[in-house]
Amino acid sequence: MKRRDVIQAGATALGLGFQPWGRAQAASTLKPGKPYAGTELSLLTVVAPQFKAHEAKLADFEALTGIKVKYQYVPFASTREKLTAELVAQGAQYDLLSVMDVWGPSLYNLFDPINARLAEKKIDMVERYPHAHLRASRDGNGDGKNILGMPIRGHVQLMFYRKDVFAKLGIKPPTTWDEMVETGKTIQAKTDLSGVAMYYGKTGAQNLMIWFNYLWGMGGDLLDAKGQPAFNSPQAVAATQAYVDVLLKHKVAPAASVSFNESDAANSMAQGKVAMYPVWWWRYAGLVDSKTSTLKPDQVGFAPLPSMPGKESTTYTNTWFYGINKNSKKKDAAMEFLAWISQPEIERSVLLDTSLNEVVAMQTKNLIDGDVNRRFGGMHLFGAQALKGAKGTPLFPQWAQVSDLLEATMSELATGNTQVKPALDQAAARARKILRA
Amino acid sequence: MFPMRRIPAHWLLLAPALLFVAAMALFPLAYSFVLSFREWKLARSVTPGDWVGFQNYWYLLTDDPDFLEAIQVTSVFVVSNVLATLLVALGAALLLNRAGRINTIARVLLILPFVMSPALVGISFRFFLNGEYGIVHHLIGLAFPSMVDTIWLADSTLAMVAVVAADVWHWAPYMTLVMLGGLASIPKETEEAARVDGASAWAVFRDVTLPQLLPVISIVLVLKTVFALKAFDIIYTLSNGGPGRSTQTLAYFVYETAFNYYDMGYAAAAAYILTAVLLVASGFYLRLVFKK
Amino acid sequence: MTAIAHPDATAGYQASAREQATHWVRQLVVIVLISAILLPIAWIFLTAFKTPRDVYSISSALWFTPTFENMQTVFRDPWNLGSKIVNSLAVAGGTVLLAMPMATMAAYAFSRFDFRFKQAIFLIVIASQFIPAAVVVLPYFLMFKEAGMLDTRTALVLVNLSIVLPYAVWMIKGFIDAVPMEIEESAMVDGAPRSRVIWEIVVPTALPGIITAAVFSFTLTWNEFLFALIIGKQHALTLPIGLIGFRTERGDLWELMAAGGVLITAPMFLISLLVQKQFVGSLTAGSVR
Repeated sequence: MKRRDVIQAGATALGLGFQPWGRAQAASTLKPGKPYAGTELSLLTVVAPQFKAHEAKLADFEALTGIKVKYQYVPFASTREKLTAELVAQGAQYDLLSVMDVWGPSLYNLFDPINARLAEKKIDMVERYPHAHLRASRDGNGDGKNILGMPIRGHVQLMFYRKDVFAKLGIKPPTTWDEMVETGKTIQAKTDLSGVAMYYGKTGAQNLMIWFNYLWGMGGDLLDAKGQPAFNSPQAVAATQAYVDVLLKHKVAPAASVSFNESDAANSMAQGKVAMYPVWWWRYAGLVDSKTSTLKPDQVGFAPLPSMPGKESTTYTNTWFYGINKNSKKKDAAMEFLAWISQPEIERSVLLDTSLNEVVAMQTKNLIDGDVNRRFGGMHLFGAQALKGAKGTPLFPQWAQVSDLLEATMSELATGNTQVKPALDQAAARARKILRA
Repeated sequence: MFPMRRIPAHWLLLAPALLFVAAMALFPLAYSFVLSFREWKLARSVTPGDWVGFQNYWYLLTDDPDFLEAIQVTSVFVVSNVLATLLVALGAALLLNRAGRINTIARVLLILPFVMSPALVGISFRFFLNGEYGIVHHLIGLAFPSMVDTIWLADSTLAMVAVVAADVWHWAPYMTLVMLGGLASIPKETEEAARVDGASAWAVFRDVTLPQLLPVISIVLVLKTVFALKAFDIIYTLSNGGPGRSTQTLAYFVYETAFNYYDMGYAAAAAYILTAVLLVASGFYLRLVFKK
Repeated sequence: MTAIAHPDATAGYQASAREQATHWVRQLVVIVLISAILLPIAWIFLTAFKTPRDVYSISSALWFTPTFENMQTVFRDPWNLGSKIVNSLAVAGGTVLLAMPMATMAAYAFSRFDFRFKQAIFLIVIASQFIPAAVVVLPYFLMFKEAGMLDTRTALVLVNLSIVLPYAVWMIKGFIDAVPMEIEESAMVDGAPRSRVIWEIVVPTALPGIITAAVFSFTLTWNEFLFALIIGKQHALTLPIGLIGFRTERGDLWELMAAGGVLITAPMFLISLLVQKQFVGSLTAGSVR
């Protein structure tokens, strides 16, 4: 074992939150002398293993600063409602709030920009975070000057596949979407597994997540340069057709995919019913945990998402950030917390914690870290690569409505009861009206 | 001392409930009603925006295909839901209105579906119907081989059936209890008298039981209509309004508009259109009920 | 052939073949009914004791290694179902205790008296519940915020009281309507004060109705979700919030939800057994021999 590994093991065994040599750096982002000792902060967040891992380290933070942070968990399915109530009441029920990028633009008014505070702490956001994640915390549809929070949870998409099945059949993970269909056909011919777990059901815009890859890969886009709906352009129609054809024409997805949401598809993979599953990287833990899956770690491989032939992969990302409530009376203390929790060392220690299978990382430094990649077989280098060409969720204010419209359209298209072009044309007409408002 | 005798008895009796409801509900109702005449997009501004008169209402009724589709979906959902519940409840109540071990067991179980959270019912039914591991999907496939590949939630009709079935499962047993209570209040003497006179069971039911059950039936009818119109959690968790928008009812529409699109004024207007319909309907109902 | 006593029969009456057949058919239908109610509940019960891996598979539908982990997990952080159940019981119980007297008095007034605007007032009381909750929950939030009552169980009782009162009044009125007025009138002619008449004559006769309304109010409050979500934060979280909490980013954690479902069903079953005695009581009192 390398010396570094020994120290790491020792540190973990002692329950230390982060690497010994990183500690000095950690402390320097905080103001000396515990100026906010005795403050209590309230953070609205959702239950996620990553956040639970963070919560376990709060004792360290309190020891360093005297600030007590209380994680108030809100059901993930109801976070929007709580944020709306906060927004309407202009209250300070919570000092810090977690927001997912798809809700972001509508909730910008909740937060105070932290640009000045970041400068004070000498935190270089551009160096720290890949552009695709950082834009989610900016205003102005991702291009604005103001940074509204610290990105804290970010995802890229990967293709998970059955390493054992592929090895037995002597095939490799597909590099293009067409290859994926061919691979799927081979698998269905030679085994009793289905090819790829797609999810076309209507739940929280999940059926758009892979669709975006087809759309952008084929040169289409949601909106054109003038901000008008462009998802019924010839490229977009072709992309959508290819997307639903995985089920309808090629039949390499399980029949039930038509009503699957993302977690149904995960279960299908975990039950060993399907050989490929394109999804967020954090699904990895659930696929290899014996409590939730029939698969063992050496059965689950991952590869970058397929792309269009000859083109770079154009994955879609998802980002959460923590922001400071505009009406909070404890903003300075809140910033201390933000600075501390977002340190690369903290993210790294969670990644290397062997009692967890947590893969979520969003800071560039950690994505290319040797130890992290050694542990997860290079997943994070894939991630870093994918993030280069990645586009995040659209960040215009009416996105919620447009996304709802598209998601309904996709779920209907997957049933085979409507045709792609007329459905997209109709959706575009409706979107035009929505965007006018 | 305030002369209590001067205040008519009925006001004293009414006061607690009336004053309480007025005190609690007045502000929220007034607030949301006024809001329906303003434009308020939370994404743009934290406070309500301009006054737009009836514009929200106008758009909803003339320019919003989603709203109109929601009305259609709601009609189908409510009518089938209420009818099914009524028939099941009445039938079950008549069946269980006797002594007997099995009947007692059944009566004890009747409350259980109702106390399950609608979200739990919705999610459970969703899992029951899952194409890969759903038990109901599996059993139906065994009983009707042609349906072994049917994905319930991918078909607009079947999804509606599923949603109605879930809501009927949730409510009908409880409504049976209500009906049983109603049957219990009917003096048995009149039924016996008719039977002794030689009337058939059906005639006894039609001419004696049913008329005396009418108040309870109307309670069940109206109650179920109101709750069917407000049903949200069960649909949200079962089908998410899909496939497409085929199970997106008005209640769903209002919720989405408020908490997803953050279009508060518009949502309020939609809510009050729904309320207006209910008000008119119940106006008719009350005329019936208050006629002595 | 053994004689099956017809439930409405007098002693010595022998059931005809057709009546026997009807009896068995009735029993069969009742069994089908029971199954329809029980099967989903039984399935939820089974799910509560499965690991997630076994939940999502037909092959392990009935054959699986049971685990108590779900039942334990739901009581721990971050779910804390235990305190949520206690809150739900407190809020629902408080609401019912306050609602029943208020509703019974109001229902009596609507039933027995004639006064101006009676229909309008009745309609307005009921109509307060026609508005979808999504649209009124935020004004309620603002109200409680001003009163400094956010995140309190009292606030939830107040909200739920305003929700259930219209239905309770309505239901109880329906049952009081069915009771003939003659008994009360003769009692009052005999000099009894109205309050005693209500307490000693009307309430007992309309008891099935009051119990029905109580059960309804309890359940409505028990299942109420949106107001509890918006008004609660830490101390006033109820069971439905706990259940929705199992809808995570990872998907619906059905095994944990099912465990929650088990925790709901068991006590409710017991309560129903208790209340059942009332129903059977009223049934045997007036009807079956």
